Amino acid sequence: MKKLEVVIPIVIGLGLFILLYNSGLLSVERSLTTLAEKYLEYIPDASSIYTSMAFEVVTAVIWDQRGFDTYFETSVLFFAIIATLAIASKLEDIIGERRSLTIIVRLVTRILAPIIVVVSISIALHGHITPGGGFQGGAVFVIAPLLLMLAYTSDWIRSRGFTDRKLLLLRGLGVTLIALAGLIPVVYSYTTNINAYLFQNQAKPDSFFNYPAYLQTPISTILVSGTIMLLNILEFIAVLTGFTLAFYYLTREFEKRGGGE
Amino acid sequence: MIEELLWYYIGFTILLTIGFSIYGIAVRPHLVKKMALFTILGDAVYVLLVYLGYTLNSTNPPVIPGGSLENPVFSSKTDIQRFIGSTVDPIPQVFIVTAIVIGLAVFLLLAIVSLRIAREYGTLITTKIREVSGDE
Repeated sequence: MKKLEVVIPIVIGLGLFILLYNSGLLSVERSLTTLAEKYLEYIPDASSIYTSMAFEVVTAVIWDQRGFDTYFETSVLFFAIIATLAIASKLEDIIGERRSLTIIVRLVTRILAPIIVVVSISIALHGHITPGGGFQGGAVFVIAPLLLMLAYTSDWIRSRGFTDRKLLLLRGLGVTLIALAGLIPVVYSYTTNINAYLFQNQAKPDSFFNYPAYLQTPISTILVSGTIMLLNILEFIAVLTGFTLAFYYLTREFEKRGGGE
Repeated sequence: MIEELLWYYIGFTILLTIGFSIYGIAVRPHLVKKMALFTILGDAVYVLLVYLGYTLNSTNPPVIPGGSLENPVFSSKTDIQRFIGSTVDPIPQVFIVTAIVIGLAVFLLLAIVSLRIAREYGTLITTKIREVSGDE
């Protein structure tokens, strides 16, 4: 019995290894795919017409070439939270008292939480220039409310005015605004008879609709890479509210259990 | 030679992790263990995708060092060509960024459903749940 528990997984792993090795995916001589080379060549090149002038190719591909896919991926999280809300039992009745953690934990959390928030905002705003983006910034941000909820009990978030209804509203707003931003090229193409695609950001070989890469403000010129910066900010809001809500519901559920027994 | 051995060794380790987690999901009766192994399986697949994006001479992430928001410094075409020669494949990383959020959404649903199961049946072990609900 014990032997089988080691042998079967190793056989599965070996089988996968042989499968991938024979298909050439594991080969040492493999190089970049042609699609990847095209992306790397055109996206950061300021003189090409297919460019969004984003230095971070991953974020550029996520919000330009794969924007439609990314939108539905954001909605998956949204629907998961709605399902959680439906399954989680009533939020209001909590049996027993909940205690916050010791002064050490609370003090360290108070120091750490603002730093985490600032770092996450920086990650989200510089998504098209340095590694990062909306998802990554949002995922970093959630650590702050999670720590605060663990240290001060889940009431902390409500006492600061962020009720779950407000968070859910913000979450829905983020997803809706992303969808509307993706629809702009289509509306434009209907009104002017120029070919344009959903979530298009920069020119494509058969469509020359594109957003300006720079934003002129009275103070300075900012590189926004078309819609990428806007979508990153919206995605940041959507992901951070979504995960905060998720952890809020989970913390409430666990507190209920701990308080009841 | 050593480089090649290491190359295959890393791939084999990742696939072994996938093998162990698949076996665990199928065999372990406890739901929390299933959830933990599910997360390990997902993370192993992400690492496998990143690994598939590597080439032997790739030393850079797919990010071109380009100054700041207000003073971007664009590199010339020859610089970009040299950069392509030493960078990893960006496409697997694009998949992973979306996959991580979906993975978290799935995990969230699993967690909340198991919480409900624990409250309804008083246990998270699947064989016992079957006894309590009287399916067999």
